[in-house]
Amino acid sequence: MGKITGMILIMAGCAGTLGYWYETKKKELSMMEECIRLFSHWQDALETEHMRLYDFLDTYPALTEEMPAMLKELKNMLEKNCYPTGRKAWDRVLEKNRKSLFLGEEAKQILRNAGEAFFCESSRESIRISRVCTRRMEKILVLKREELRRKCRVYLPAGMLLGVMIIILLL
Amino acid sequence: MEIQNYLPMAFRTQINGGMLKDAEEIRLRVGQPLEILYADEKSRKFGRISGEQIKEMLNYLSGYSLYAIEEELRQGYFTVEGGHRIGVSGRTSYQKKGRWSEMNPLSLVSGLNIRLAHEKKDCALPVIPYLYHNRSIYHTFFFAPPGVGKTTYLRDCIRCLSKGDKRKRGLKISVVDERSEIAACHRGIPQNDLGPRTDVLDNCPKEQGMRMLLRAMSPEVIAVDELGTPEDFAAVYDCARCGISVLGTIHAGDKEEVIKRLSGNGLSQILKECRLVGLKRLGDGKRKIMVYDGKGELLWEK
Repeated sequence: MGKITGMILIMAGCAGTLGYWYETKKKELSMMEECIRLFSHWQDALETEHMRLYDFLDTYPALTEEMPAMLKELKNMLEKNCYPTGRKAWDRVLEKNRKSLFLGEEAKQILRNAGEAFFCESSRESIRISRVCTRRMEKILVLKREELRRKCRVYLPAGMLLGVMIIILLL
Repeated sequence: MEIQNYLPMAFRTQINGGMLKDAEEIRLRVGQPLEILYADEKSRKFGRISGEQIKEMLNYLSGYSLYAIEEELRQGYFTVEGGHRIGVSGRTSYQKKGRWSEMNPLSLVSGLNIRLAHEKKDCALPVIPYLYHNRSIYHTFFFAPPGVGKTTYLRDCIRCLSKGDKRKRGLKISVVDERSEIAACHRGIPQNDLGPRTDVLDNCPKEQGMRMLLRAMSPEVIAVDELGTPEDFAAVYDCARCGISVLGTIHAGDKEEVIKRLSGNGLSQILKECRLVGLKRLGDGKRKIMVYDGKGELLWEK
């Protein structure tokens, strides 16, 4: 009875760890997709409406839960007029939301650089930087997707094998 | 937002709301002290302004969206929430476009002039009886040099006419607020009291806006600020031809100048049914108001 309980616990632990890892990776991918959406919406807002940043932050239709919260926080910080440059407020918000964004180092760096796109003096330059950020994020997204697929292909059979081995050992 | 919250961080502790109560202008120039100018021509100076602080303030004033005010910067001024007008000076550049050259937005801003908008309710009340004509009003033009209060009087005049009184009903007034100075609209909603029968077209060029409102809103009066170009006067002519009274302001030193400009722009007919309201700043900061008819005859002064 003890052996069976232990076996089930170990199996559940392995499955939980694998599941958590998979969910985190999926969140990272969806957050990267969200960033690409954010950049392209920003380009669109600049090209078609010459929209002000405050209005954009208010109206951006996010698909994840984390992004609107971060953008709202940024808007609140900017409205207090306490940061001499918008870039400083952007960096501060990113730093505060580092963990909730689930992004890797490379993607975080792109998002940090995107501050230039939001706080540029000319809309043409903003659009250019935003396009560069979109391209770079897309590249990383493709690589990350491929990496996840590859890892899943290895981890899933390896996990199952490990589980079977533990069962055999316990039996 | 209070105007002191737009100032560079370093000055916010030194300048409070009380100091700005009767202020008319705040001037910032690189290398010079920040200067607050009051109605009675007194001034107060604080610290010294750096180039970085001017940039910082531009960020606050534009809502961290300098690109969004490119067009306004090309014209040298823009308006912020509350209807305060920000004039800019600095280095400009031009780019050739065929035979003409087009001005780029200011690349290096070295000076800012914040003209504080004031909502002085009932300041135009003594003028109102001289404006009524049959069931509407005469075409009325406020004239004065810059900074005397044309827009303040125009705003109050709109409010009084829109509201009406015991004897006169309120008029349907449409306002073309090209620079958001009259109504101080925030997201299209007027922040200043313009009366219950006033429609505002915000951020729209005057000549287009006047024609739009004429067709769309069936106004009895159309109000605009700073008539100056031949296109503006042509739009005024269109309104007058359709039986709509025009309420406007003109930069001018005296009544002769206004009459000359109106007749020079094909509005001689309008002068027959017109009131000119002149404003003059007195030494103690108070204003002298003169009401003339279209021929330049003085009807009332205070």
